[in-house]
Parts: sequence; structure tokens; C-alpha cells
Amino acid sequence: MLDAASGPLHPRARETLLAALEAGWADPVRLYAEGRQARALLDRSREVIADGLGVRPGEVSLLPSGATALARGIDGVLHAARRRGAGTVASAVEHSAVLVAGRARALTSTAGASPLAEVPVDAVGRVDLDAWGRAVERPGMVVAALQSANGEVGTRQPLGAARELCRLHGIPLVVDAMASLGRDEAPADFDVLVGDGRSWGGPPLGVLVVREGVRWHWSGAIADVEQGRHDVTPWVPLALAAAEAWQQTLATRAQDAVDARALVARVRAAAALVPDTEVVGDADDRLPHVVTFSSLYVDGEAVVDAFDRAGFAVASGSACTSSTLEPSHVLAAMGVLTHGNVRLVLPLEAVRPGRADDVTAFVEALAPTVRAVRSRAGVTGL
Amino acid sequence: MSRPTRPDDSGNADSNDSNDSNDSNTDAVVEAVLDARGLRCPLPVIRLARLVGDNPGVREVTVLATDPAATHDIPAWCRMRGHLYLGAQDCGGHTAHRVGVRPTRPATGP
Repeated sequence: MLDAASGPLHPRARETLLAALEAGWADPVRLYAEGRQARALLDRSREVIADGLGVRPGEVSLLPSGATALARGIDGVLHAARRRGAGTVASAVEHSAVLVAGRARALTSTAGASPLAEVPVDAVGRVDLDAWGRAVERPGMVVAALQSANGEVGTRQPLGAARELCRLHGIPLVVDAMASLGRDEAPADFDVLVGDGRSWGGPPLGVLVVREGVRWHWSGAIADVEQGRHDVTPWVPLALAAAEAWQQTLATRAQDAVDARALVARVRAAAALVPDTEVVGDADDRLPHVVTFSSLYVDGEAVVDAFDRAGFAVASGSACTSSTLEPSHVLAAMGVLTHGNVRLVLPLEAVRPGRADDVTAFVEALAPTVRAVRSRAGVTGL
Repeated sequence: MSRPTRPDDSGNADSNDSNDSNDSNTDAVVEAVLDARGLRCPLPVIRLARLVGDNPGVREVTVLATDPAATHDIPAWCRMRGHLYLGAQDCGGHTAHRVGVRPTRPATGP
């Protein structure tokens, strides 16, 4: 299991989830004992998550998914700033919840009133800060979105410098930490922060942090649910399981990251030895647990299938492995090869004890598997 | 699928700087068109590599492609192989990618 982008659950989160089905099933807004208990459990979950992020519980809202929280985070800044403008600045490697929605707003607004500035990245996927600076100073830009690190290629973004440039122009920075929470140090340079329970071994759960003082208002706010940032109260067992996983993962994060980084270094070294293979993303300033490489003349679907048959679950950003038949916009924006792409997202050690053995086996299988795929396709020696 | 073409005039009229090549094959085909329309990745790049490998005299290839990945992968192939990506032109239903081929092929892996 080398594709842990969406699970499996941390074993303690699984236990908590099952136990919470008994203790936390009730609607926290009900006034009977079970409802009050559910409310207390939800409050406790929020406190745990807030504590690990270094924010106040009142700044934290829980939403159904990270993508929902990301779209909501941007919407709230846009709506609050609607009298000043409607433009969005985002790096070209942001989540599609940012880019697709931003392009749609740009297309449907009259006379380009809601532009989306897609800021280019370099060959390792790091945003061009000069271009970022020029984008945030454009008139009418009111929100900026940047990942703490990219979940496909692992490269970290210069959040501090990017936020400083935003601050010069009074633009709140929405930081997407969906790939990094629980794996990398929690970001501090943000106005709005978005996470997903899955990155730390929890269930799918969107976390939206809006710092006090940030002008933020959800256009669809109908009730004071989740600080006015959502329309339904979270299901308490999910929140509890996410909080339990968060606590467990934070306790072991630093050592887990050191170990994961060493495992990733072995995969990077092995991939670099495969002929005509590019290891993608920053070699050092990166997430500890993500590694991606692309092999020339190799069909992404064929190589994922070959690894699957060898017992390895891996992901790919190649076009033929996506439902849209478009290659990963991240790889495309970096100008790296999009075909023959293989991506590993290492599970937490607690989630998959023995992941080091999996990586060792993968490293041994890497070159022969790519060679076999090339041989079958008749592209050896091209 | 590939249709190497030879211009009628004998001179190497290409705009790239490959004239100083010591490749003395006067029969060398200098320009080629590769019709990769309808092919999905990685086939356009494979066909391109094969055409260049099989026709050492080719100095410029125009690849016609409909695959969106070709827009990223042909420039990436040029970079990895030391060739020059000269640009793309939208031709309505497909895209024409122009590739300047470096005279001597760099060594390839096994």
C-alpha cells in the first residue's frame, strides 16, 4: 500500500469511530442528554484540532471534505471583499477546487470582473514569487490561494514570502494544507487554512480555519452552524475519529517524517537510476512522504497496472489514468513529462506498520517493472 | 504513420543551425511530418522518437497531435533528449508541434 492519499484509517481512529457510534450518535444541537454529550464530544474534537494547529477553537470549522472547506474558504474571503473586487490569485498547481472554480468565475463574470491569475511555477513546482507579487498587486485582486506543499510532487511553497506580498496589498492568503497536515510542520503563515483529516490518518473531514480579524463571510450563511461557515453540524463520530487520529499522529509526527524522508530518498535514488526517468519535485524542500517520477515512453496505465500485479498500489498523474484523459495539471504546469508517471504517498507507520518493507520491495521491483513495461511496448532503446 | 518528406531544393534551408553537421549523407531527409492525430500518450512521443532514430538526417519534425498530453510531453522529450522545441500551432482540430532535431543523437539508455 503505497498510495495513502486517502486512507486507510489510523487504527486508533477506527476504534474511536466505532466507539463513537455508541456515544456520539446524537445531534449536538438537541437538548436531551445524548445531544448534550454529543455537543461536548464535538467541542472536545474541535479543541484538539485547534490546539495542534496553534489556533483557537472558535477559528475552526469542520466541513464534509477538504475540497469543500477549500472552496468555502475562498468563497468567504471573496464575499467579504465583494465591494473591492472579485479577483483570485492562485498558483498553477493549486487544487482543482481552486482552479476549476476560479476559471468558471472568470468565464461567467461580465467584462472579466472576476479574474483568476494563475501564477506559474518552476520545474520543481515552486511558485514564481516575482510573478506572485505582480499578480497580487493587480487591481481587483482580493483573495490568494497557495498550498503549503503539493500533494502530487511534494514541493513546499514559500508561504512566508507569499503571505508578505499578499499583506502589502491587504489580500488574505488561503493556505491549502490538505497534503501536509500531520506529515509536515503545521503552517503558521496563513489567514485562512484548509486541511483534510485523511492526511493525518483520520476519516475524510474538512477543516477550515479562519483567523480572527480576517474579513470573511460565507455568501450562503444561513445559520450560526460551524461559526457560520457551513449549513450542517458535523457528524460527531467523524469529528471524534479525526481528532483522535490527529492527536496520535502529532505525537509521532517528527520521527515519522524523518523515517518517511529516508524511505522516499531510497525511492528517489532507485528511480533516478532507471534510464530516461525523471524524479519530479524538489529534492529537499518537500513533504517527507510523497515521491513522484516519470519514465519516458511508458504508458501510465500500463505501469500502474504492472505495479499492481507485482503487489504495489501506486498512483499516477498521467492522462490515461485520469477520468478526463487530461494529464495532471501539476506535472503540466511544471513542464515535466506527464506520461509514465508513478506517484507514491507513503502511509503513516502507525497506519501501515512495516511500510519500510513495502518500500524496500518496491525499490527492488522498480527498475525491472519499468523495463518490462517498456519491453512489452517495444520501446526499449528508443 | 510517419511521412518523411524531402524538399525539392537540394540545399538545407532549415532555419536551425544544423548546417555545420558533419553528417555527409546527401540523401538526408531534413524535414518530416509525423501524423500522430488520434494517438494517446505516450504514443505520439514514441512515434516521434522512432522517426528521429530511424531517420538520422531529419533536422525538423512537425508532429500533428490531438492528445492534450502531447502539448506537455513533446517539449519534455525535447528537453530530456537535447532537442529543441520550436513551438506549437493550433490547427483547429489538432495541434502542430515543431521540433528541431539535434544533429547527433545523444546516447540512450538500455
